[in-house]
Amino acid sequence: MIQAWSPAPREGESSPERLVKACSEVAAWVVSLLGGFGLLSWAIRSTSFIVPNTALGFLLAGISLLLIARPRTTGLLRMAARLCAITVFIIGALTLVEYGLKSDFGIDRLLFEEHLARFYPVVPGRPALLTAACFILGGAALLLLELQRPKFWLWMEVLTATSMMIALLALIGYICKVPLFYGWNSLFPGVTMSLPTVFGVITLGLGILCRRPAGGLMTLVTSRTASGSIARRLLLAPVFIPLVTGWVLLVAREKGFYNPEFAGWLLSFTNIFVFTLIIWWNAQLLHKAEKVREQAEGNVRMLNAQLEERVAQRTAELYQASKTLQASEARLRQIIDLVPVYIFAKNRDGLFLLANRAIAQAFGLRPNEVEGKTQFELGTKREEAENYVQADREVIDSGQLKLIPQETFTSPEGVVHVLQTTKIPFAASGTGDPAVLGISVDITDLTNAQTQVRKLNQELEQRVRDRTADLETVNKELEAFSYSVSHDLRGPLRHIDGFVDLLRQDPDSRLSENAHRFLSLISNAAKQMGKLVDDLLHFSRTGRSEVRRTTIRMNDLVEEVVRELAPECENRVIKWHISPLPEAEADPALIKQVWANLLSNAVKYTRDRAEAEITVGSRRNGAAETEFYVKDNGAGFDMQYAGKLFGVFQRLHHAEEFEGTGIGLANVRRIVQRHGGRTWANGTVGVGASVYFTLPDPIDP
Amino acid sequence: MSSLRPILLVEDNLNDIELTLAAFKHNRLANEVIVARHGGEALDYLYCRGKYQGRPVGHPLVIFLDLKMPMVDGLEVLRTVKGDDALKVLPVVMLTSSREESDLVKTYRLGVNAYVVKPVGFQQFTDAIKQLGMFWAVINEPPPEAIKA
Repeated sequence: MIQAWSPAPREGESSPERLVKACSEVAAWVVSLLGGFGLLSWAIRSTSFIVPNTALGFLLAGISLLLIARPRTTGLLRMAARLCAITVFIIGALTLVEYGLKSDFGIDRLLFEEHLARFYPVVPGRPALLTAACFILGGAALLLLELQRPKFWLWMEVLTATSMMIALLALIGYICKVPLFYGWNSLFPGVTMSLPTVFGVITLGLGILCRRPAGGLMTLVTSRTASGSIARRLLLAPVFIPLVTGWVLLVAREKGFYNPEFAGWLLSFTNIFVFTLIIWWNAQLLHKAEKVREQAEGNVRMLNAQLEERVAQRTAELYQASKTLQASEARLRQIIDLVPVYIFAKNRDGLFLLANRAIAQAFGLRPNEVEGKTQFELGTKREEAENYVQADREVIDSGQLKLIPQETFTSPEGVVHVLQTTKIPFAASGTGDPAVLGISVDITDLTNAQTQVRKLNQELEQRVRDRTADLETVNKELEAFSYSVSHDLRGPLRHIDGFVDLLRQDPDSRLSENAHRFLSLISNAAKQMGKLVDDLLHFSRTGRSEVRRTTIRMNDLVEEVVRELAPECENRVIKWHISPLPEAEADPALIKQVWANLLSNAVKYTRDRAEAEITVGSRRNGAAETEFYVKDNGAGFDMQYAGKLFGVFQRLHHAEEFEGTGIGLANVRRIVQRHGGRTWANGTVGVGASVYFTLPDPIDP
Repeated sequence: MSSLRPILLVEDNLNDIELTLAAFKHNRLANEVIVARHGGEALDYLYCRGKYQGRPVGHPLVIFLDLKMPMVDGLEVLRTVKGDDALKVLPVVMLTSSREESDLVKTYRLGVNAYVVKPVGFQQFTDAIKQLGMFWAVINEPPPEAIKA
């Protein structure tokens, strides 16, 4: 309650308010001192300018106001303030009752009785009637003020203003010499409201009014507005101007400066003049204030317009931004729908947050019909749906991407699709709830194709096995055949040769010279055929034996073969040109046969040369192989028959020129082919021949 | 002493028998040559049964064994000889036309002592027989008689 009207300077209390409050305190002091001095005067000088009760009333009223004006007045002090106000009221009321009943209660002489008798013979020391009225009003006002109830404040102000009016009237009476105004006491002439009392009442009234600067009558006066300004300027004018002009004219008339008619006119003129000036002055003030206000209003209007414009602009921008966003989203949606892959997002409850057209079509629905539904609501097969949901949960809970290489999806029509699915955990935009993004590729065709390929492969493998078995059978038959050839064909030949020899050596036989020659031819033929059979068997074995690859030092192999050819080179002049040869990855026994065939051929076919030249070399071939060659300056051959050179039993020379079975080069070709290489030859009759073969480069392990 | 022990020739072909015997004769090998016409006969001789029942006790100096024969072939004979504790000390020389690797491998696995491919030329054949006879009948020291018991 106290705080509601606390006199303590509040935050935001304006300076006029503080000033007004200070005025209130000063007024309280003035009134208190007035009363105090009055009483002091009685005590010391046995006389005073006011009666003791009036002085007492002022003292109490002043103290009351002072206590009220003090900040943070305690309960006790407030009680004191109230008591003082009540006492003032009682003094006024009792005095008034005395006047009304024309009686004397003796209260007027309670103080300084002995001195009073000298001055006030009739009604000694009684305050004036008006003073008593003012005390009643003032005491009541102070009490209302102290009660601090807002509903009393209007009453308080009315009471105060009334008392001030009474005092003002008395003042005017003094100035304008109208005793009625201050000595309204025809009942008891002589007891008038003294000037100090008038002064005291006015001061007290001002003090009370000023106590509440922010409320009541003083609001307008303390306001910073133009009206406040005008109120401050004009409020005193109606009081003081007539007062001053009236007093001046009165004094001047008494001195006889002019007659009463002129005085009336002068009074009117002066009033007109002064009020006109004041009105003009104030009107100007208002005019200025209005101008400022108009300007301010204009500014406000302009600002408003600008603000509206900016709002409109911003709205347009937002609209544009929203449209762009919509377009962008539509484009993204379009892309997602165009992708022929299932794209979907689900939350932890298995609700579809997103479904593209592909997956929606798989359900036989549109995307918006899928979104917001669960897997179970879409008619998916129970166990499939459970698998999906389990995988989704796993991904969401682990926060790890999961690849499902194969899962099945049965469409509403009952068609089983095989899907390869990737599930990626993410936080849903907006809510931030954990969700899973899925991408499924239909690999049904692929898996079907794979199954097909596997089946074909199995069939192929079976066919290979069958064929291999067939071949193995054939090979066995061939082996049995060559075994027979080896054993059975060589036997008779041996017998022929054996018996021919026995015949020739038989001392009992008498054979002619010619017969001996025939026997020799028979023997040679048998031996030749034996050699043919041996070579043929060898050739057959070459095709069947396993190729055992190791690293071969070619130069070592060639030199070994050359050494073994030494018996055939006896009594011959042969120039060997053997270049450094690279190592090869091949079967040493077989490759040695190759060199043996080629080099023995070279030695054989150069035997008519006085000086034979045999060159062995190699050359890197671009296509991951090495080319080896043997060149000689021997009999050579006709290129027309180059194709026959490597055939079995194919000979380009007569047996009587160069012996041989026609198996050697066939063997070379067979061995080289079994190593993955090629053979060919160049030759010119009478000039020489070059035989080439290649071996593939070793494959790095 | 050893030279007096006979040589067992197991051969089905008459021509081969004649040529081999001619070669032996040519090389003047004094040892008796017992000819078995097939594996069964050879085993009969070795075990003194059939037509060889009651023959003089004693093992041959060496067996010249052909591979391909009717009824019981050379491999069978070799297997039996080398599988018998009493006989396995006998030297067995394959004398055959086959140069097949499989035959070589099989016979050596069974413990053959030598493998000779009959050359086509009679001169070479004679030389081979001569060397064989020289080696087994003259140079090589046969296992002591005590072992055969």
